[in-house]
Amino acid sequence: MGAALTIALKDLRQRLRDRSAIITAIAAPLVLATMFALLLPSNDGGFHADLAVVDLDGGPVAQGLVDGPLAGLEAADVADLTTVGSESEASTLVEDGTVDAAIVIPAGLSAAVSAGGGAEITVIGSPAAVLAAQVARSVVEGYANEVEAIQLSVTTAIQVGDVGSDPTTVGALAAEAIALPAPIAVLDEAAAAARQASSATYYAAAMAVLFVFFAAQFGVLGILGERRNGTLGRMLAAPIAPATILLGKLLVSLVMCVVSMSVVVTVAAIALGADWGAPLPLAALIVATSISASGIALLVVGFARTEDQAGAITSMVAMTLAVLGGSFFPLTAAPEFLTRLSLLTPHAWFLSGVAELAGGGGFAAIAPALGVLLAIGIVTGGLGLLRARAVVLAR
Amino acid sequence: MSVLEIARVAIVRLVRDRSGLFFVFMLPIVIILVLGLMYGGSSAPRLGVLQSDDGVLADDLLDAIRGGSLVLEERAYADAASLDDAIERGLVEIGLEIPAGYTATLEGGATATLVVRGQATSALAALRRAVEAAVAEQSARIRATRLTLDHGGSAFDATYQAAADAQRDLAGVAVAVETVGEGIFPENTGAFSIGAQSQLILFMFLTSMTAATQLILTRQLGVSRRMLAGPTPVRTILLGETLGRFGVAMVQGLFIVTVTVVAFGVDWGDPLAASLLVIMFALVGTGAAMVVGAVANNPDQAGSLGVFAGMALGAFGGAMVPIEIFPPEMQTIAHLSPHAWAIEGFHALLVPGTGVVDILPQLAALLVFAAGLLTVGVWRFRRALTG
Repeated sequence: MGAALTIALKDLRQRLRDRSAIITAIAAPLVLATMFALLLPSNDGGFHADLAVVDLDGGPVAQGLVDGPLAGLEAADVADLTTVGSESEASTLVEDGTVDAAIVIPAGLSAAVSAGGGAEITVIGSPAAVLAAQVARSVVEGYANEVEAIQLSVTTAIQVGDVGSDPTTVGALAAEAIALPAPIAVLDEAAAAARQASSATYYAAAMAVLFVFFAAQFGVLGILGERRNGTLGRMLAAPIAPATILLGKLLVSLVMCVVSMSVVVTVAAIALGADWGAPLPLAALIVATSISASGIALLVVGFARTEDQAGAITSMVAMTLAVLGGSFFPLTAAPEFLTRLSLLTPHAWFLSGVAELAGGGGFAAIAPALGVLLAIGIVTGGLGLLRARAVVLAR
Repeated sequence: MSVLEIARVAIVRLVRDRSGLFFVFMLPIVIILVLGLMYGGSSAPRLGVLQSDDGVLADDLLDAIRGGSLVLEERAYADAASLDDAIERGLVEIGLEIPAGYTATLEGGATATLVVRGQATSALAALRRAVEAAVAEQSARIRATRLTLDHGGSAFDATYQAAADAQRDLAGVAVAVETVGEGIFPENTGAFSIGAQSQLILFMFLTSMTAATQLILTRQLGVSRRMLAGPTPVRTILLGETLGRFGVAMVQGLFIVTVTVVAFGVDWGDPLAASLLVIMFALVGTGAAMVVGAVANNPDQAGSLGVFAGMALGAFGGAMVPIEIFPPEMQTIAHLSPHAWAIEGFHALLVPGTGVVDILPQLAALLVFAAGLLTVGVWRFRRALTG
């Protein structure tokens, strides 16, 4: 054990002097996380539209739309309304992007509706703000359906039922239809808690887990380096058991990983406003991820012939897992098969653990993530140890 | 002849390095594929549905939502726990629960209650409108049915159908849609186009940065000194090494363009204009590689720093996240990177009918970057060679 520690400390001192280790393990993830935090508008579930309203009608039906559903949009903080005088003015505002969409209520709408005729409300949208136009259309269509409900009731009763279409009957039917209670109620259930990381947290976590797989190679790769330099043979002759040498190297990888992730997480919390939730479960998550990264790195070393080859394979494995595991693009927007595929990567498990913690979860919430990460580490590390022992003995 | 020989060696080294092949050829294609699969399809907000009622009115409500103006991607969930889980993890933006007995309640004349849930965001408040519009549509039919049943209508189903038919023919209030202005990207932009353009730029530059380490090794291993000792003039070596870096960038660029055209059907726009952009950006990469290769002395450090600088410049220049969604001031600053100019040029070519003339500013900016970097690179490399 003493020998393993000596080996580990010697390697760690070397790594500290080696700038490429610091660049890969600390500077790179931090700089990239900062850039993403700066570049990406923080869009955490927010939607807001600027709508222009042109009321050419001025009657009660138009007023009902403006005071009812449209005012509702404003109250829900979904939209800001601007009143505009003419359709061409509204169209210009949409075209130059001042507003996202415009609603044009035609002259004579109220008169047409009360006479049982038809009218057309126009929604002007732009391809630059598709969702805003869709929301505006939905609101107008919902209102149109409400307005038509009485007319539809009377029409259906006359067509299918046994009543006549004389003005007195129509008046009575309309009154009766108005008196009918709304058949469907829409209830908003208490808002669900978010178990989702903010974008600053997500990108810091994504970069931390991306680069931890590069940081992991700094320890175990040393086995191949010692072999190339001939120092491996001298250590074995000391005599130090192969297992002790491997343990020392593995310790270096683990320390590099934990330090790399801890620094990124801490700096992101202070400088980028990342929210990591409870610190102890997070520490456990970092250690579990470090174990899986070190295990995979050791497995690679077991199969590589030279340091260069091992470095290249590690990079390949790390990049492939990162792309599939959601380190570059959040997988929440992904099709389901990609989400399922991502569960094969440690990255996805670490990121889901971070999301759970950001949502206020504790050890219980991240237990599956911890379990999978440890299992990946133990299985790959175990296989790696078997292979690497052969590497050490073969010198 | 020796110029071409030196250049050929650079490309041979690229192709012989099997792990390098992964980063040069495979990784960009994989990322383009994943990006296209994720963002290329519909980017519609997602509605999670928990349908506990299999009656006609529940199906009819869902049809009304599907037929509505707000386009939502629907995902079905079997129980409340899994719907809640999806909402909390952000897999769906809005959840709708149609309770058991929905159809029976409405047919029986009572009030049915739908439950909408989601995270407390303004997006939920906006998307809720899709459900409300569909509810208003169905409510109108049910009101009509109920009124008619009170006045001689027979069966609920038949009357409801009659009301639906009447609703379709009703002169009532229609909603017309007009579209003005332009989107960020033209409407016919293929699913893989944006990703292909940005990854082309990102990876051509990254490869140039790694190619710079070859240059350092060539110097350190004494290959250049041995060439100088022979009858090869300095000019030839410089030209050969520069051409070699350029060749590496072009081989990769052409590979990515060809594969994305053949495999993903990406339309790169006007061939001449697109080619000029690729060539210009390859020259920028060549210049950067020459500068790094001449100035740096530790190939390992240059390698990791180079890749890192390439990723950072790529992110900053819009090769990871479209520059169009940057905050405005960052969009301006981003143009300090050649990446932003090249990607802007490619984006412009997405509009049908654009050609070389439309991207002259971008080509000129790239030319300035290339000329500056190449001048410094060749000058420093000559000094490094001749001491």
